[in-house]
Amino acid sequence: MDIQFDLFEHLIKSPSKDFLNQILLESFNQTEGSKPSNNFLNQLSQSLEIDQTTSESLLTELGKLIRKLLFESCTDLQQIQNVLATSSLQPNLKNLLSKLLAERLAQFKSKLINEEGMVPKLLDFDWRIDIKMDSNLSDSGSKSGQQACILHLKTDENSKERSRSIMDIGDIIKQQFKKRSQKQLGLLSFCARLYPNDKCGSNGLPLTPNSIRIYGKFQYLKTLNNRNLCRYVDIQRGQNERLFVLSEYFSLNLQDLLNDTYIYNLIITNTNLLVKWIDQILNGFLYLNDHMITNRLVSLKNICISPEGNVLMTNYGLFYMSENSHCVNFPVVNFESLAPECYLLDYLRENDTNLEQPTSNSELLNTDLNNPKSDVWAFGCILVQFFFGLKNLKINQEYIIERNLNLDVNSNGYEFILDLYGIDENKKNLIEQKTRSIFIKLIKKCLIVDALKRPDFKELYEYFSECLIEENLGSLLNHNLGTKTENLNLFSNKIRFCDDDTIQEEDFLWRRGVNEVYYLWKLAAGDCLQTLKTNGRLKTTLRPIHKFSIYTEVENGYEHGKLIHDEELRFNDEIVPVSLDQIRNRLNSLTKKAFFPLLEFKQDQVSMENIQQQPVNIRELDIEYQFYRMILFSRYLTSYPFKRDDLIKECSVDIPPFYRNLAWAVLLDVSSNISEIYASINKEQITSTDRQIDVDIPRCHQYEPLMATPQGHIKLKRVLKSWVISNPNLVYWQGLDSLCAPFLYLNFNREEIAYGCLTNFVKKYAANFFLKDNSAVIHEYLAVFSHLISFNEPELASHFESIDFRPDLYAIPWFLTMFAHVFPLYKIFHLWDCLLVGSSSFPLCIGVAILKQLRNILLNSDFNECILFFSELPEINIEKCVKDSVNIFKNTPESCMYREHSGNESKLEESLLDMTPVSLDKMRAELAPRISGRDILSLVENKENNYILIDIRSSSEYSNEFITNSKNIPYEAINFQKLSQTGSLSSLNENDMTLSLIHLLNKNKNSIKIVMSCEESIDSEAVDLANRLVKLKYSRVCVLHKGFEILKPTILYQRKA
Amino acid sequence: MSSQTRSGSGGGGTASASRTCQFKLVLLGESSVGKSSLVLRFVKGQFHEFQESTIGAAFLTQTVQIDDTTVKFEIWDTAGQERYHSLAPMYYRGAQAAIVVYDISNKESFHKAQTWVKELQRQASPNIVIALAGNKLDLANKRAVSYEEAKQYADEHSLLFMETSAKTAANVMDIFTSIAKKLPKSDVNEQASRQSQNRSGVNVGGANQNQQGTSGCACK
Repeated sequence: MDIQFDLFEHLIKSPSKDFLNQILLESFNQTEGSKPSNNFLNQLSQSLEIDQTTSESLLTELGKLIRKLLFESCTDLQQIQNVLATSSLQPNLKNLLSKLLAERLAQFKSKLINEEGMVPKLLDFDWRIDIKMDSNLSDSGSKSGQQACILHLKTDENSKERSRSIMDIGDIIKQQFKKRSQKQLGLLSFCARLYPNDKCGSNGLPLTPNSIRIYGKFQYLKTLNNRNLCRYVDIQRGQNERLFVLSEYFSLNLQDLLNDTYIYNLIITNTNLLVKWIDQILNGFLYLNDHMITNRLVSLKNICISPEGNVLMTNYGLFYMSENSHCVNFPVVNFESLAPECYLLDYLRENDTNLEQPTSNSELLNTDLNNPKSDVWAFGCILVQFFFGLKNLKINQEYIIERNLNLDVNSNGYEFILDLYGIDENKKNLIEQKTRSIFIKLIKKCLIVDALKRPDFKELYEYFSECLIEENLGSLLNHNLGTKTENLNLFSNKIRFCDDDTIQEEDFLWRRGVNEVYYLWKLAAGDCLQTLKTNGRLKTTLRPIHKFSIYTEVENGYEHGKLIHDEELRFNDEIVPVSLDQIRNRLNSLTKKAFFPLLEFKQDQVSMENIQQQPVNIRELDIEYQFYRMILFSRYLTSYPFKRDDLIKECSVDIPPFYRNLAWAVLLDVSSNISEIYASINKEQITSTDRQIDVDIPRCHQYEPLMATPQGHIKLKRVLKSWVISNPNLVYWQGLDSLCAPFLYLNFNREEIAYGCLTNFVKKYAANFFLKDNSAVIHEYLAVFSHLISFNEPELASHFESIDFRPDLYAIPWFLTMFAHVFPLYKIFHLWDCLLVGSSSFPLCIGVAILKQLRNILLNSDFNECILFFSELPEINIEKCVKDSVNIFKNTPESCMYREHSGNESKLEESLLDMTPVSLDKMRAELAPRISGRDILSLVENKENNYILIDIRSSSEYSNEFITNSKNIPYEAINFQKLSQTGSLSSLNENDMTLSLIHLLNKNKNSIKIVMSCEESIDSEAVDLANRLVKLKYSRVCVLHKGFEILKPTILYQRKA
Repeated sequence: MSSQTRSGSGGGGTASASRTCQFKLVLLGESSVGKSSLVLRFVKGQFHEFQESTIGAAFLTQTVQIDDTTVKFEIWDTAGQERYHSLAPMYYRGAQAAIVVYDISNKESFHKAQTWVKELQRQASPNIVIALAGNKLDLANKRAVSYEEAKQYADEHSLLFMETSAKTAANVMDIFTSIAKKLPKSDVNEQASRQSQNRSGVNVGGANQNQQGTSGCACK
């Protein structure tokens, strides 16, 4: 704040101290908004011998000074003098002024505090700590413990002024928008075209239903994000090929404005607003063009106005998603604004393709832009409708078509439309006079009949800009040519699904972004069909019996005489608002704080323990819980990678489905430049596995509509091929498609993340599984799996052993696809949520957990029954399976799951205490796993006494040297026949080693039983005993790897003197 | 099992008049020619348009009645991808019957079928009954392998031959019954007494192969 101190020189002429005081008071009052009386101003000018304007500015400047001092709390004499010291005032005046101010400031201050006049009115505040790194964490040692706190204060300093000043027209219009427009979730519903029954495509497979084609096509629309387009949120499939499209929506549109004469008259004369709107609509169209989308449903009704007074197009994707209206039974067209050439184009297309599905890639990828210039014509048409005030235009369709077909390519399109719309010469002249010429020029430019001469949107935009500059309105254009594309990069801070515009949202709920709002709406039992019905749509009086066809042609399956009510099939492009009351009610109890939790303050976090004890399925349906989790995850993801460790900790609790895709990417450590990596792969390259991939994809998780869409097939193929090409040492095995499917499903519009997840997943969990010759890897994996069954479920292991039922027969698809070929997607999600926070050995535990769940049935089944059983796996309770696998994992020493081919680089300083590879034949001969010396040490360290060490060396050896807490049961002394008769154990005879062993085993039923021999007799003695113990159904049996000798250098070793 | 016990026919209490024979049958062929679909049609009378790919192998059983004998098939349905080839021997080893499947609309799959036949005749049990199935008969308008060509090949190599369609069920039952008829069903009781525990398992490790009779069937 610059204060013109030199004006204060005039004060020297002040007649008295009192007068000076009065001047100060008036200055202060002026800052408060009350103008000084003319009387006083005259008096002031006279006494100081200055003119009126100077005195006015003197007061203003003094006022500024007072406010500055108050604001900076410089109220004592010294501080005031310091402030004034910088000025060039006479010292006397300085002193006097300082003294007077010091006397009065306290008074001013108290006055202000009482009136709260000066304190800005706090409207809203938003506070959060975005990044806080804990310097105590060892792994972030090098990073400094910085904190950053962002505090948003939203104040309204102008509120007083606003209420005082007279409202101008712009404000009235703004207020109207605020009052009448509301951001909502909108629902559009229509039916896809039915195919005759049993019609098959060229590959012998049934044709993809049109609803699924639309479903797939729609996915791309979700990625569109422009401030002048209502965002598409989701598509749902209903019965009878009905589709529900959900999008952002506003309750006010241009058609509504036209119908309200009062507001229409205000707007139509407001050039600024009109230019702004045209600019915004053009911006929307440019964005659509850039994304290869033709709107075709351009109408005043389909242009919404936000409460902030911006315009947004809606319904712009219907032509695109219906594959240029191929997939629906109605023309996606607005006849009143359909460009003349479209009649010809549509006619040609209809005859050309003749119901045959477009299959070429270019069609599916939408590289051919479908005559975008038709939208330019349509834009001209709606401008005519708007500027000429044509309410509810209704013209006979046949008339329009007839007129269009007779249109000469060289005629004047503008005159044609005016004539078509029934505007006579008088009205035309009247409106043209009233309207600024620039708008008429724009309309004429749009309405050029010859499509070749008609500009496209880019040219139109340039033309419009030039016109504006000519008319000196150039400043009204507030954005540059070219469109802003929101790049949702995982690793930039743009991860939030709401852009800057929505952050300004006053409604806290909408601040979460439209996608989260929709997700919550679904959780709050939001139902599309019900929404339609409550809005008076779909009134049908037909009974189900009427839906049968009267007869069906045998040869081609065409059905006839179906009585489907008109109301059900007729297309209505009107968007129905979706009620958000239910969510609001459910979230009503939440405080504002809940929307902005502080991550570092535990007291701020709501206790979740109660709900976290519930099954995952229940948690995922709990709207409040999901709300908390979503906010938490979005916050962590926003600050990624700084909060990575916390995020992973939260993932181990559960993962909110809304953020599952990104949470998985984080868990799998997908690199931040994955987009570039993916982009650099040549996905078109022909490989030898292309045919295999082609035949596998159409049968991969096809029950899931998204995977059954043509887009799903193309994307899956691209991701798989990218993987094949970028992993030259690995090859495509059937099953990799299943493995990839969950990642693609979650990242349908972000293939690169799916690819990144797949790559890292295979590296971590399925290392070397996809080698050209993987038999060593797979067989080792299965051998370890057998060991784990013995270790945890000896009863099953012994049963399987007796019927020669090996994991090779049933578990290959389990592990090759990490269960993705075994379970449907929704189950895989929960299973992998858990798997991904576990180590690479975790999947083995899942396998054991599945067997555990089926134990009773398996124990009573013979070989054939067992194998039949696994061919069609019965219902598995995933929740229980996950819990069991976690327990199994916790209770199994790491070395028991050791694999040579695990893909983990072996440590450089490998010590004797670590595991080393064991040959496959040996592994197969051994029923029990081996344990490493290191794991024994950690068992000892943990002091849980959950293990017993059975030393089977001879008693003489034992008496020389032994291991602390071990029990000597010499191998030679065991009577194996007696050992198997465990039931008849009566008395304990210290000398009978067999009985001691039985006693020891029974006393420590749940302990880890480590059989220890010297190294050379591991195979002959230790393994034999361990095998027998497993067959006798003792659990948790293992053999010390490399024998007694390795423990010699440890503290456990003792030697008799 | 669908063996019917008739009362009153002499002998011990567990003896039954109708015999039950058990055969191990393996399906081989290029991927997506319809091996799993043929089995599904045979075993459950169902057809899935989007039958999932088979990884490793799948196991199913079904019985057919041939005169007074109940023939029980233990069917190993293998993965078609060439890479899984190395697993195949453990499934066809000890098998008494094999169906080699190709897709009549795919010439390549017919060639692949021929290599399978060669391998079986060289490495499987010498008495194995091999049937050649030209599947996807419903796609006859897209035919790439003529009936005559396949028939001639089958005759030359003494294979059973039929064109089938898992989708329309054409010839599916027939091909399995023909195999059942061709399998030797003699010496039933002797074998049954010899093998108290019936194991039709596969030899995973590759060791102790052919422990089970290479010819005839195991009955009980």
